[in-house]
Amino acid sequence: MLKVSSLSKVYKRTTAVDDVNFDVSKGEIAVLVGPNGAGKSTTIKSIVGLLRFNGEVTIGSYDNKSIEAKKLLSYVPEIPALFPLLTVREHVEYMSLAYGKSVNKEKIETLLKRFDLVDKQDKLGDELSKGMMQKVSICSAVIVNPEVIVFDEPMMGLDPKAIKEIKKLIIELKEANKVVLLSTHMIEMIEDLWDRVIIMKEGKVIDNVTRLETNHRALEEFFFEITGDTDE
Amino acid sequence: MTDIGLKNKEGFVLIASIGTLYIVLPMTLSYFKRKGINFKNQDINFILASPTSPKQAIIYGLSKEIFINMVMQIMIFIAAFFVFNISLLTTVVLIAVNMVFSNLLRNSLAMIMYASEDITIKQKQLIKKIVYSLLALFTVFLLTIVISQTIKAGFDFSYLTSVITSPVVLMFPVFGWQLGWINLMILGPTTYTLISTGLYFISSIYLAYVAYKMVCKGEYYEDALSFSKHVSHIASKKGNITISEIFGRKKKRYDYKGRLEGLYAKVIFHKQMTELRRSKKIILSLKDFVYLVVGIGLGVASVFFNDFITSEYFFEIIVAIGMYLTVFIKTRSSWKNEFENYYIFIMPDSSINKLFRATLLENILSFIRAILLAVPAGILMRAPLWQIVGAIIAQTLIKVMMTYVSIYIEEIIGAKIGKVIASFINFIVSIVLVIIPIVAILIIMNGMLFISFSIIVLYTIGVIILFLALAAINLTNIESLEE
Repeated sequence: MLKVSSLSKVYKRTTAVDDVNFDVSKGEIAVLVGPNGAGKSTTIKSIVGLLRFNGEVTIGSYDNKSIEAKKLLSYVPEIPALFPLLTVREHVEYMSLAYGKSVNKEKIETLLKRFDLVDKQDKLGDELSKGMMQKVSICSAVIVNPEVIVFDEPMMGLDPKAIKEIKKLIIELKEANKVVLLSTHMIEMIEDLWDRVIIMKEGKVIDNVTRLETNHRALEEFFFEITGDTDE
Repeated sequence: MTDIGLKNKEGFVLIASIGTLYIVLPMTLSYFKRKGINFKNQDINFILASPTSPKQAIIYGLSKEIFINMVMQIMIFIAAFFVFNISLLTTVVLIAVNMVFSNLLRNSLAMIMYASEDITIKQKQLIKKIVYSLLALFTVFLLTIVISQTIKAGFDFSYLTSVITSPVVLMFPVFGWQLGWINLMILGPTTYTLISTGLYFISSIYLAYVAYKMVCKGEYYEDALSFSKHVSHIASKKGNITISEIFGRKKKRYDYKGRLEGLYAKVIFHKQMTELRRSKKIILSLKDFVYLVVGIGLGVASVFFNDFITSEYFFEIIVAIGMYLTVFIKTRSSWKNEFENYYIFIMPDSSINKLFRATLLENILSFIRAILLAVPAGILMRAPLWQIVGAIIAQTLIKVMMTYVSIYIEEIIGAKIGKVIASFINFIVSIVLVIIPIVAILIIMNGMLFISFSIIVLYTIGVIILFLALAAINLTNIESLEE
């Protein structure tokens, strides 16, 4: 469903991502992990079409830059960016309409309730804390009912309740047969979530395995073994 | 320098005194509000949060501003020696003493007002208000003298000089005393210049002593942090900021219950409309009213000079003025905010549609501006209705054409080659592009108004489509506008 082939991204003279390849199937939660500067965010931004890159990214059978592919995909950025003069509720409504869907008030209400945003729904974008902005970004991405959802460091800045809620949400998306790709360096947070791990280091994928292929090993232990970044 | 009665010793004293009162004084007063010292993020992390004493931190903060004083002193040196022909020895002594005492005075005062915990914030606010009131009173006094004397005997700079060197000013606490030194060195000793100079030296040393002794445990950190945040916010906006924001005032918000509608890219317009209604009481800005003023002015002028501005040339005049205002008055560009955010790039719609919708509000505002210019002028000039409508259409299309040309050249190409060069290219291209409408206007002169109107419409629509397409092809990712 999500296929990344020979993805490379060069910033001036620095190669941020070098020949990255991986697939994520329907109903699969893939986690993109790696140390800081490994190229996770650049890979994610290329997949959602925010950056110029070399290589090919397909969503379903469509090129990621096509309108058809964009209809299937939604994205939660690492640094939430809200419109300063739109309210919380309007952000969610805006995304619905931008994806060609009518505003489903009931669905929006449920989402806002789920992320404790009901009493904040009339607050403007620039009146929110970073954590709340992140929650709004998550609600805005989920409201469009995407087939592929890409989270870039989704748990950053969230309170424990919201982290619990987002984990539950990710499981629900998997059960609904969606493709979930999430990047993080907080490995302990995703220990019970992942089906596939893609480990990146210095812009390259150094391992890409399913949980089954690791014999259900603890992700943290497996990660340090592969990256060689142990504290011994 | 042209001699306008200023190129003498009194002239130098006048300029140096005005600079001290109206530039240095307000700069120092900014410290009363705990503003003016910009602690950058790295300063906050590595100095304010480290075991450095709050007084040392503030000295470090102020030391970054010292070069401004240095530059001012160098400018005074150049002016005194090269322009006002004051002797080298006098200039050197004036500057050398000023370097020591003005820095001592200014920094001590800044330290006390910024960080002293012996004086409450309320007391500091009161001092600041008193100083500002005195400065305002002095300005009124100065203007009254100058205006009344000018009415009596015509303008002369000596009125200003006599006020600025008067005992009232020289006895003005701290800042007036500072002027005493300049007066003493340049104009020679008088009782008042000697007293005020003495007070200047004593107050500088005394304030430095007070600053050394004052209690300062770091109460100012919170305000320093908030000022630093404000400065970085301004820096991050790269010029896209209002005057009130620069002065630290929060942008005003208006209650507006917006309703988003329209599917895919159509929603962008409704979002922008909601944002506009929440940021402005009326959707037009002050710049837009320039068009109305010009329109009315033109109409009124036609009433008084009906031989010169006649309705016969209404279309030509309005289109020409519209072109001039388009090239020289830059208006807001809300479309750019859209392309600096990720939402528009993940939106499943075509680039051309997104760009068109993102610029629609701006284009509607161009239409309103064209109405503001053409309608009052047309009514007062008694132009035929179809000519008023034609002028509005032609003017709007020219502005829309310029918008897309600017998006492609200034923003997209500018991201690759640099904004300065791109702005220059954009200016040249804009001039070249309006040549055809100008030629069309010349055709009207021969009485073929409909043909020239048609030429303008077809030509601008062609250029609009070309540049809209060129811009849309390039605006496919968030890197398109990054330098």
